Amino acid sequence: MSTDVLTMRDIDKAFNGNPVLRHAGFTLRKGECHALMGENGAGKSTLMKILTGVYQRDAGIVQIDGQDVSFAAPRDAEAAGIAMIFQEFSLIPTLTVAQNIFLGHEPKRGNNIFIRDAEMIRRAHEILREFGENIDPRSRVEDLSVGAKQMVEIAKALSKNARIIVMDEPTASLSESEVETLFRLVNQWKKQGISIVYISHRMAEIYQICDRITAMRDGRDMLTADTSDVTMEELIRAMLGSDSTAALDWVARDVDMTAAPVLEVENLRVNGYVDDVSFDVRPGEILGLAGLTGSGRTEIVEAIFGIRQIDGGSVRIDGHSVRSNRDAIEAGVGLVPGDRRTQGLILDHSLRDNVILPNLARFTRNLFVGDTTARAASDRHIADLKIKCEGPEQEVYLLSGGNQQKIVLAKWLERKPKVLILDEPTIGVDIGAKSELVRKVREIADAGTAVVVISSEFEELLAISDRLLIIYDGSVIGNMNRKDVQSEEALHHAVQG
Amino acid sequence: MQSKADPMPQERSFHLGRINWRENIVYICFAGVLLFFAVTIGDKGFLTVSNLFNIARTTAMIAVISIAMTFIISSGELDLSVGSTAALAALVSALAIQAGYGFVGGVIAGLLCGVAVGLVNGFFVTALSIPSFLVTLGMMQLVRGIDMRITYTNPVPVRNETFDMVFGPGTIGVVPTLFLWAVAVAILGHVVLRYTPFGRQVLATGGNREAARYSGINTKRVKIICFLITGVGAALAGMLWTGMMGTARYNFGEGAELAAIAAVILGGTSLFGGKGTIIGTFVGALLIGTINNGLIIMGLDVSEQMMVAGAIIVLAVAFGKKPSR
Repeated sequence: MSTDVLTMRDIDKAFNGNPVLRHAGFTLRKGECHALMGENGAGKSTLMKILTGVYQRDAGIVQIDGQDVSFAAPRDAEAAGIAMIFQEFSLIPTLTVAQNIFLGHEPKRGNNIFIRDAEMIRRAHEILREFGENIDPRSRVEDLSVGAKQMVEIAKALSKNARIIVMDEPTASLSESEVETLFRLVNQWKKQGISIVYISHRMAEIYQICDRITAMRDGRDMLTADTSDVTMEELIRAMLGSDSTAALDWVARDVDMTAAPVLEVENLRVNGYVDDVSFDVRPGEILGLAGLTGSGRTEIVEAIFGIRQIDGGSVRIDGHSVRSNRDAIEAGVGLVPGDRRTQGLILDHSLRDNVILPNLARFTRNLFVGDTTARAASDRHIADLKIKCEGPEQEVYLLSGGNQQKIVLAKWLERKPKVLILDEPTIGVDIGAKSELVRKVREIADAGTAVVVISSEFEELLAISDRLLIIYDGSVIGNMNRKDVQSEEALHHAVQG
Repeated sequence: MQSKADPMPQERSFHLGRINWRENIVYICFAGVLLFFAVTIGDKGFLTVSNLFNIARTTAMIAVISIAMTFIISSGELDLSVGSTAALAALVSALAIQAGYGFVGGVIAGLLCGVAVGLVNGFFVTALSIPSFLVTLGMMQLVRGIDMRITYTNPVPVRNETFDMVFGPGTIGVVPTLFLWAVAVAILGHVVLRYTPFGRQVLATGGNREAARYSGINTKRVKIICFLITGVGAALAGMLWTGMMGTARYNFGEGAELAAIAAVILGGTSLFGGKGTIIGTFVGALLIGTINNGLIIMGLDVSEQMMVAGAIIVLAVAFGKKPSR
């Protein structure tokens, strides 16, 4: 059981002279699930990209089954039985599930020219059946749910007879039941002797599924231990170099519940998603929306923000009805959307240009955009939100997930919003940036802004909310004060309907 | 997202001293081409003031169209109907002047042609979500057909002193009027794209339409305005062509859409939107005009000119390309 299938030792890697890995090491045993943790930029991804042949190491040793190896390209790593499942899907949307799974290694007829379609579909079906998910190999990938796509991605890795599977934030886009399926698969693979590297920020999952943990910081492995031997505090200290989990403890806040609500949602209906939802939020209150992916949470907030067509009911800010996106923004609603890369940011543009985008009118003097004032405002947000960057002119795709999310937040803070909505604000954000975001959101609420938060991480939702709405199948099925919620488990139970 | 979380592995652009070669490829090419022609055909008349002004004059129309095209490409769309629209505006304005509506009436009629085509393009692209490539490809054909039908391919001469003075082949001081038009349009375009909220909205829409929408930008409105800009820009170019030739013809602007796209991309604007530079476009248009002029003086025939000009464009874009990330 404890034979090492993979040993990485003293790995160095620098980009443009900046060391990203410094004598990093990692070992993987046969049939284990090994968590790889660390803040964004700690070097986890780079280490795994060296393993999978995407990057070449500058120095160090990589051994598979005790043999020195060096992969010049991803194809070489694949041939050695190493598969990486990307968080950004590597699937081609217009091809079918089966075509994607076997892309590049399609089963062929004797003369090696024609693809054996029926055989391919049969084998795809076989792999997918193990998953217990009902995915038709003939359906097109673009027609699948996000979770199903992730499953196809995994099937693709399996179809290559992988012995080592690297998964990068695999549960980020999965629903509860899909996560269960994934974990069942992981356990099955472990029995078959397949080893898994599990990159994730989600502590609870790691304790549930992983046998060992390696924590990285600043390009080095700081700690490797059996999951049962290491506490969460020890892990966080290894990753951050200090204790800073305090922000994820709940703080009881004083909210004047007699004040007039700033946001009133009445009988809101969005056909197919939201059915007769009503609630109020008061100034300074933080309202958490708890629900499963697909429960209608996102559609509710998009309707409030006016970017999704309302089919019935009303949304009022300070008593005034909001009918369009323009109305909502004018009335002081800000939305940090669920997908910061496609909805929140223009990745090729600078930090400054992103920050001023919803605020162009404010930065315009005599017809022209004032770049100097925009730069000053950006500098202020960089300092205020502790955004790690070279300056306002840096393009945002160069920054880590946490810093990118802070920029999306800055876009709306610049407007001093009356209602700030955050949809999954901490997905792909490391624990350091996460606690800063939580702290900042509290500060914003303390200043009188009404905040609505959606999160699939209930630990975080419980840490930040004053009140929780339980959303199930497009309806509100519960409304409770935070202090009445006993535990994360209670919330998990509640959202199941 | 993990793959973006790491520091960037590749150098984004290679630097030599403080010059960023990739972003400035158009200026380097332009200087190189000028130098090459100066050395090889400087004594055959390339370097004379009259020839340089000739380049400036004949390039003006493509420059105006290219500058307008920079907006639509920066917004993530494309307009292939500009050449046909230019001819339509040329013919309609000439006919209006012939019919006695005078200079102002003629110009307004011409510009309205551009507005009309721009609105049709904008409507089909935004309201019906049809790719702009298809919509404007169709419009290119349709409008060219109208151009041919209006006068049954007969040219329409313009005899109007004001028109001659404003759009004609003359000069103001020593500088050709047509070139001044191009410079004026370039300055206006540069200021609008670079310094106004509308310019930011164009770049944001092209950079990431969803994110722009979630930032409260009406991306459909932005695109419609960009189609109006190319329509009106093309209409102006059409009247400049009439001015230069003294006659409006149905075949004005044939191939202008491709020359304009080449100038825009050479100039450093991203074909996929989100990044645009008017100054680069302007120099890109001058570069194409200079190559054509130099090759003629070198004595190449039309087929040879086309091959060399095409090769230079492909090579310049290849050198200016960002490394993939």
